[in-house]
Formats: sequence, C-alpha cells, structure tokens
Amino acid sequence: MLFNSLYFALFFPIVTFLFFVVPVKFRNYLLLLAGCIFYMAAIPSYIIILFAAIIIDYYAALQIQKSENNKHRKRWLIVSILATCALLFAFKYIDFFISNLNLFYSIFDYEQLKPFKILLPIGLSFHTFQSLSYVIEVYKQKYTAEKKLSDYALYVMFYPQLVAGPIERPQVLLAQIKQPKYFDYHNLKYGLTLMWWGFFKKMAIADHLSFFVDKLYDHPNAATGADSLMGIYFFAIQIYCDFSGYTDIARGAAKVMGFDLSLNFNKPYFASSFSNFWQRWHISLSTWFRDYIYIPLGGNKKRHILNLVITFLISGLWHGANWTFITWGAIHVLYLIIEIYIRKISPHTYRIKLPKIIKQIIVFHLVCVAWVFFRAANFTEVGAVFNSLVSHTYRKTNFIGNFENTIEFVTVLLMIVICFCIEFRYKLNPLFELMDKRKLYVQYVFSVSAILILLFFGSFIKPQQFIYFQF
Amino acid sequence: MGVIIIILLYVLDFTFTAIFSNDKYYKSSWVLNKKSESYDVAFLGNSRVYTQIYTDSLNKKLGKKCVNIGVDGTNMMHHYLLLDLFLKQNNDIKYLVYNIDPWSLSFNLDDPKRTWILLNQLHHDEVYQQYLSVFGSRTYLWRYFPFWKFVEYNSRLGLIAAANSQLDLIKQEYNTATGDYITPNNNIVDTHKINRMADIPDNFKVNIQNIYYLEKMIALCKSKQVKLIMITTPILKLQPQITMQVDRIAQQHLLPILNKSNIHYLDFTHLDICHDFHYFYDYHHLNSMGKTKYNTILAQKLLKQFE
Repeated sequence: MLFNSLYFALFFPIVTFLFFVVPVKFRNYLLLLAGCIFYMAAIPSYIIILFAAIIIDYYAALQIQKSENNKHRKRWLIVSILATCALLFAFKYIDFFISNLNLFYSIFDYEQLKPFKILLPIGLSFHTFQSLSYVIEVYKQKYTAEKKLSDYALYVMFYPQLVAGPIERPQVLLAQIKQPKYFDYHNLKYGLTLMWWGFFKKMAIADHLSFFVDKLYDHPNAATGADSLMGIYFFAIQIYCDFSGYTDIARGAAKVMGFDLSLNFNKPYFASSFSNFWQRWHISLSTWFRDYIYIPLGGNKKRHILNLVITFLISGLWHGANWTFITWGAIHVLYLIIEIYIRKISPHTYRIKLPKIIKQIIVFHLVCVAWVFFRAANFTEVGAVFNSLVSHTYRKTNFIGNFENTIEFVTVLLMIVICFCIEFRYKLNPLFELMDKRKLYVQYVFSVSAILILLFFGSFIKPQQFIYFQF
Repeated sequence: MGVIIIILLYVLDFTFTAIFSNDKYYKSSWVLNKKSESYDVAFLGNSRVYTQIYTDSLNKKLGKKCVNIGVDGTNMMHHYLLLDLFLKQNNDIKYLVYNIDPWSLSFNLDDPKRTWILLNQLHHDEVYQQYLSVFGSRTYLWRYFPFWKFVEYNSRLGLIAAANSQLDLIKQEYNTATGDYITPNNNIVDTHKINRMADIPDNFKVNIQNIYYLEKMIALCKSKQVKLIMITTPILKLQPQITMQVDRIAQQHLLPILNKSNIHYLDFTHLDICHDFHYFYDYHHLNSMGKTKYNTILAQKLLKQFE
C-alpha cells in the first residue's frame, strides 16, 4: 500500500481510530493485523515469506538466548543469517547471479541459463535487515530474546516502517511495543504535521521531479546538455525528497500512535565531507552497516581501507542487484578514501583553507555524479547522460516546452526553494515548529494553508511508488 | 476545522469551475465557448488536425467558412463529446471533416494524461455518462467530491493554470479567430522524433471502445444532418511496416464501417510528401512546409467532395 494513495487515506485514520478504541491489551494485535493488510496490498501471497522469516529468526533468537554454549549460540546465529541471506538471494539476487553466470558461460559457448524473473517482495531488504539486527543484538547479549511471537512479529511488521524503514534496532522499537500506548494530543499534532511535511516532499516535489528525471533516463540520447544537467540535479533532489518524505510519513504515522522511530535523514546535502554525508543520509542503514559489518571487520583499527571497500560494495549491492549499484557504492568509497588521504597528507589545507560552503558544494556535486549510476538502468544510459553533458548544447531544452511542462517546472522550482529554506531554518518537523505555541487561530490558518498547498501543488494523478520500495 | 475545509473546498470548486469555463488558454475551452455560430466546414480530430489544418487558406481555396475544432491530446471519446457539446450550443455546421488514424483507433481511453480535457464539463449528462462508462467509479469523485477534479489534475486545472487563464501570462498557441495552431515560420525537422518511428509497435491493436465512439459520431452527424467526411492526414512512411499498418487498419476496421454508412474517406497517407522527411516535424506531424503543401492538396480533394 502506498502512503500517497487513496487507500492509505482510508487505512490510516481507521487503524489509528481503532488503535485507541480497542482495549490496551489488544492494540498490538490490531497493529499486527494492520501490518498484514498493509503488506498484502502489494502481493498477498508474499506474506508467507515474511511469516517464514519471522518464525526462523524468532526461534533462532530464543535458542541463542537459551543456550550457554558459545558454539551452539553461534550455530543458531549462522542459521538465522544464512536463512535471511538465502531469502534475499532467492528473491533479489538470483537473476543477477544467473545473468553474470551467463556472461561467463558465453565465453565457453555453454548453454545459457534462463532467469527466474521473480517479483521482489516489497521492502524485503529492509525487514530482513531489521530481523538480522534483532538476532545479532540477542547474540551479543545486548537485548533479551522476545518470548511473545506476536510482539516480535509486530516488530518486523510495524506498518509505518515495514517496507522502507527506518531499520530499527530491537532496543528502539521492540522495547516500545512492550509499553502500553495512550492517546496524546501532542503526539497527534506532532505526528500529523510530520506526515504533512513528508507528503509535501513526496507529492509536491519528488513526484513532479520524476517527470523530468524519467524523461532524461528514458531518452538520454534526446537530452541536450541543459536537460542532462537539470536531470542530474533533479534526481538528487527527487531521491532525497522521496525517501526522506517516506521516512517523515512513517515517523509521523508512528508518532500519532505514540511510537518514536529513528531519524533517518539530517540535511544530507548540507554535508561538508563524505564521511559527514554518510552520517546524515539513510542513517539507520549506515549505522547498520557500521555496527554489523564495518566494525566487526576491524573498523578503522586494522585494514581500514579494505573494510570501507567491503562495506560500501555490500551497501551498493544491498540497494539493487545490478552492477550500476555496485559502482555507485564503489564511487562513494573512492570519495571516502580520497578524503582520508587528503586529511592525512594535508590536514591544514583541507580543514582551513576551503570555506565550509565550498566544501558543501563540492560534496553535493560529487554525490550528484554518483547518483547517475544509481538511477541509470545500465552503463549505456550512464554513458549517454554524461555524453550529452559534454557534447550537446546548453542553449535549449527538449524536455520543457509545452504548457504542462512549464507549469510542472515552475511549480517544482518554487517548491524546492520553499522546502530547502524551511529545512535549513527548522530542524525536525517544520510545520509543527512553525505552529507550536502560537494562538489557536494562527494554528488554524497554518493547518488550512498546509492542506491547500498540498492540494494545489501535490501530484495526485497517478500515485508514484517510493523509490526505495524497490529495494 | 473539518467544516472550514469542506466549505473552502466548495468555494474553490465554484471558483475554479467558473474560471475554467471561461478559460482563454485551452483549445477545448475555445471550442466549447462557441455559441450560435454557423460554419460550412468544421475540422475535428487530435493534434494531427489541430496543428495541420490551415482554415485561413482553406477558406479562400474552398470559398467556404471553415473552423478548426481539433484539439491536441484528444481521443475519440473527446471528439464525440466535443462535437456533441459544440452542436448543443446552437452551432451549425454543414460538413464535418474528421481525421482518423491508427493512433486514434488504438488509444486507451482511460489514459490519465488525457482525462482532464473535459473534466470541467461533467455537469453535462452526456459527458458524465461517457466518463462513467470509461473511468467507472472515479467519475463520482470528480463530479460529487468538491474540488477533487482540480486537485487530481492540478498540473492542468490547478492554481497556476487558473492564474494563467485570468492573467493571460502564457499566450494561447492557436489563432482565436480560426482555431488554427500558430506555426512558427520554419521548417524544423526533429530528427530525434523522426527516429522514434522505431518505437511504433509492430501491430496497432484497435481498441473496441474507439470503434464504439466512431459509430456514435456517425450517428450524431446523421441525426444533426451534418455530412461527414473522414480523412487520414499524412504519416511519414520511411519504414514499410508503417505503410502496412496504416493500410491494414483502414482495410480491416475503418472501411467496413464507412462503407456501411456511405461515408467518404480521403486517405492522404499515400501522397508523395509521405516519403520525404523534409516535410515532417516528427513522424506524424507535418512542419510548416509540409502543411502548406498538404492543405493545397486537401483543398483540391475537398472541392471534389463538395461538388
């Protein structure tokens, strides 16, 4: 189910209303049922896969908890990790593996294997990583295994963050699931305003931008230099507004019911270095990789560069089963390595001479370059986009011309300026911070204006899927 | 709060309905705002009529009063409804020249890009009934939920378009006297768009809903005593499969209906200019040089029909 669909416009108020109406002891069951309905809106039968993963990890965690024998505990951890990886491989990576195997086979004239063309269960990479973090935390004895299956299932299937995160640790979400929740007007107000901000970023910016970005990547050979440049910048803004918009809606929907989900974005395009960028972008995934891959490999204590390379290549592969994603990860690790060497060689030059704004501009532009690999379907598209940047005119555009395009363009530029100015000024929940502690009639004016802005400038024609749903 | 929003939505709905009913930018509004006019010949169709017919020159060559009521981006349901509404406004036409081609016949009528065109006319029963049959229950939302149609199609019927309609910021692309598209005076050939001929599917599948609207159009013309002439405007035929496709569709789907109703059909896809890309802007739209040549030929052929 898409947050920006009419179904969710019905689903959310009904679930929230029922959540506070039913007795406290039944509320988690209600949320679990809501999670099932939410998940089954995509491909209903895939709920079986999710249930299988839940049961395996639930049982493995209990076994780890129960055993005092380290070998036995490790064995169950490996079982859980392998089961999760097998699930990911079967649904996400098998065709990628086959296509690469076929390349190898073609050298020796072997018979080509047929791809399975399995539809990816929605949000598979997210909830599998969340399950893994639970089992690992239990193994590390940082969290006690959950005995109640329904509560653990709700931890995996909590509908606001089920399909695209934030990837929560059990200490954050499972602990909150165990606590009773009561209606709180402040939570309602905070949650709804945060959801509005998410909808604004998704529907008034990201969906309008996709109009131009899709044109570039559908017909990269038709793009002028201006079209390509615009498309590259626009995708950087689109993916931020799309994903951070999703996170804001998820956090807002959870907050209304009294749950606090983690912050996933912290003004990433204001980062002044690449290490700083990764502390601000998709924070829940970055910290997951840091805690469960990078640090166990040795972190910056031994084989620092190799650890970074491994972590980022896996991160690229996590995003998608394609060499373009792996290249995207490789480019980012290259940026980080260069940054580390610059700091080592000339710490004073790097830190003092360049003003912060210049560093921010450099980081933003290099991140934009890497996004081309992330967005393109293959390297031919990447080549065509970069080629049009250097070999075509900047004096005209093929993608803005008619009345509708012009309206889209004007609208989206206006919304981007508003969005980034507000995000620069306000921290976590702009509308809430703007309204809070003001007179009631002012709050009404803000609320009505916020709704009208969304109605006037949101994209409603065909609800577009969130980019990160594909992962 | 809820009450305030509902009242506001009704006010906005009323305001936007009024604005777009008197809109000066969109060609469809121009067509629908014509009242009690009399024409000898009206040209109807999609962009291949809107941008390729010069009624200014046809007036002189035919010695008749012509009007271009073609609207870009329209499908056959729109054409039927546009004609129906146009005639209901006491406009009188003797001949209707209607363009039909593989694209018109294969369009899906529920294409979201084209839905907005007559949304502001849902208060007309015939428009409402046809939208209901094509779009189903969504039509209830558009008709009965205040302001929803302007929200859903806000890139076409939204605040900026409304402001433009009132303030005339972006000028309309058509001649407000004749309805003809104002062609820039050049002979552009967009090679990229011409190359996109390769994107044309191997076999156009005729959508049965379009045949339904073709038959409704024929019946409407008969009931209003409008003489109907069907045409297919030129298509660039650099690739043999295009010629085959166009001919196949004409033979299989169009001619049987037209013969049954005794309607004249003028096929301009076999002209010499159809084999020379210099006359085309893209593979199914002529540039200004091609249009001049085509309108001369069209006038000659129509004169024979009018004899």
